[in-house]
Amino acid sequence: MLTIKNLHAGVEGKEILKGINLEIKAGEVHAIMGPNGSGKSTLSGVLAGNEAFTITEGEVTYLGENLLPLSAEMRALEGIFLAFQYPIEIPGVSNAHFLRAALNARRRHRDEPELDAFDFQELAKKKMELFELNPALMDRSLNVGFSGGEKKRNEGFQMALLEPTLAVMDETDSGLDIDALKIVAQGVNSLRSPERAALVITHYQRLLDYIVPDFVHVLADGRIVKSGGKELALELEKSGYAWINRGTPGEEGV
Amino acid sequence: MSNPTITEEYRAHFTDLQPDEPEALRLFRKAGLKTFGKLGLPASSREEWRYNKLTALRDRAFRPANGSPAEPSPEQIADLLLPEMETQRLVFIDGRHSPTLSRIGELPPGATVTNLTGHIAALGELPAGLNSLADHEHDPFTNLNSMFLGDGLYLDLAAGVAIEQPIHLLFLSSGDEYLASPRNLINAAEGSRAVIIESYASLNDSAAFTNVITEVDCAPGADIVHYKLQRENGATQHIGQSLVRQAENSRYKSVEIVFGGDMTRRFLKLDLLGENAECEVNALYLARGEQVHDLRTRITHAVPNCATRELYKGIVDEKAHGIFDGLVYVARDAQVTDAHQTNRNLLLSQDARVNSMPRLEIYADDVKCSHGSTTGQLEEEQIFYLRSRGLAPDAARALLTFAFAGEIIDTIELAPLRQRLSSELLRRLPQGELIEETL
Ligand SMILES: Nc1ncnc2c1ncn2[C@@H]1O[C@H](COP(=O)(O)OP(=O)(O)OP(=O)(O)O)[C@@H](O)[C@H]1O
Ligand SMILES: [Mg+2]
Repeated sequence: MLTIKNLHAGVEGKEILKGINLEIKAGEVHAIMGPNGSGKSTLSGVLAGNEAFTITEGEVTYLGENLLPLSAEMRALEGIFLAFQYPIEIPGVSNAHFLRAALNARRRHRDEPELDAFDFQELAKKKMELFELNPALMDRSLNVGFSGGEKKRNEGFQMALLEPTLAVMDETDSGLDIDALKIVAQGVNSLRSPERAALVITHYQRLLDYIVPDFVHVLADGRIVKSGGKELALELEKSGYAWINRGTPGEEGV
Repeated sequence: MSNPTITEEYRAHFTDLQPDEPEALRLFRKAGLKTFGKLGLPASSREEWRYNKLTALRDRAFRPANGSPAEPSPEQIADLLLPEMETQRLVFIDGRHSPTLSRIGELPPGATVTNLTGHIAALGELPAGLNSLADHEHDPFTNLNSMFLGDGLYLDLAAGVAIEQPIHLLFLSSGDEYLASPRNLINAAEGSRAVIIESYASLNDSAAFTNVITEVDCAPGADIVHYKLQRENGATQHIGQSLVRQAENSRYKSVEIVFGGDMTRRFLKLDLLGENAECEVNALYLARGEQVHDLRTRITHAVPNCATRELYKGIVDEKAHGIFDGLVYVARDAQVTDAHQTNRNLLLSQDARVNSMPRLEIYADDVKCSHGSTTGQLEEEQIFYLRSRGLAPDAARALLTFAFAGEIIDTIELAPLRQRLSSELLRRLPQGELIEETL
């Protein structure tokens, strides 16, 4: 579904991603872990089409097509969804208006009939229940005054509503309490299907108990330095990142 | 220096008018003429006129409309009549009252709602309060208004009287280089209540000059909500002043919406003269093309325990120019003043210009006051967030711009008026139609 080859990207003269290679097949869930500042959010931003980043080298294909020329909105319409590490607050734009606009843009793109306000509300209510979000948040300004956890659950809820083909979740678990973590994981799992895939960025092995990944990658200094199965996350939890460069886990992280 | 020939032209227009009216009014006009003749139009070197383009006013003298107005039919102006609301309505064309288009229904005892010059004719003298708040000594436009004094609202509310239906004043201009000089006088006695919609629009695309003065006197405990909608065509020069005096425990709320005009200058002077008086003054201006929207406020806290909430927001696009100049003055005796003034401007193009001059002058020591001003563009990260959910960039920008303005529209307490202005805003915003279905 997604193939990344030798991707280099950065901001004004500063290279952040230094040759990423990654292959995600339909039906798979990949986890990316890695130290602060290693480039995880940059990778997610590049995939979502954030023009703040410049791509200097490499290729990305999505569903057999070159992804890089597509605008951010076209990527969204084609089924890529980014759950932001830091969801943006937008005063004056109600959650409900915004989401109906987003959902209908996607439905138009797929030649599906648009939802009127009533049908949208019914659908939104169901999905909100999934994330145990207070329905009152629908009428509030987008993310404004939401608690940290509410913002993250709102990202999960948007994802469930838009039903992406490829979901990129950037630390959606950070800031969630244990119960919320399970709720969001359930939401993600409910989307799992042979046609969809997910890229889950996290610092905590705990999330991966609930969203069990097929592959775990370690991103360090702009490169994927190690890949493995879900047990790799356990090793990282135990030993930290220091052993990665040497190749074997040692005692020092315990 | 002002152009003496323009002053002479106005004097000639004045001589042409021979209205049959009470002596008191004739003298009032003459006094206006005399002072205007002395002052002339303001020189652009004067600080408070520095940013205005007064070229259209300096080019020529606009002439007051004479005789009876050519009236549109109610059908022609159906939408301007706010059909969705029950109102008490007075319609004026080029500053002259139109009895056929006006409609005043049943009023509570103690309420007078009528046209000002009609009231003066009936009274045979000038009503109390006329020119008591306007600056007739120094301001040329006040005197220009006085000499050509046109019609407007005369509202008198006895103590405790409340008018439930909003009073809708519709000032239409028929263009043709006409000068309209509407004058409104509002006397709200103790504990009285009214809502006023003061609205300006054009009947066609031709040039005009509207020079209006509204004086509002709020006695103790009076509650006046005042909406001002400036939607004249892009060839109109508009100078509008609201002058308000508040006694103790009174509330005055003003929501000013400026969409129209070539050059629009709105001035609000508000004196808080009694304790525990409150004012809330909000404005939204949307300037496009080469429009100039200039909004000025002077709010004086003369006594303790009063509150001001001021929020003025501007959207400035293309080559337009937005100006905010606001002063909150807190006198030495005005302890425990609670005053907050904010001006925010959104620039939608490289060529758009804004001058923002928020000011607090505080002479009391125990006060809670703040002021702030921001001018900037839409935030890229907000645009990206919306685009990442599938919204086109133009739609994302329209949505964010609409949201910026929505903060002011939302302060309109009358739901039908709020909805009307919200859809109108959408129509006037660049690409507004892209987000119409989402709202
Ligand atoms: N717009 C930007 N301008 C300058 N530097 C940036 C920008 N965006 C990211 N960086 C830098 O690039 C590096 C990678 O940042 P990124 O946000 O991708 O890290 P991360 O792996 O997501 O970290 P974390 O785990 O803390 O979220 C950091 O050093 C960061 O400061
Ligand atoms: Mg990050």
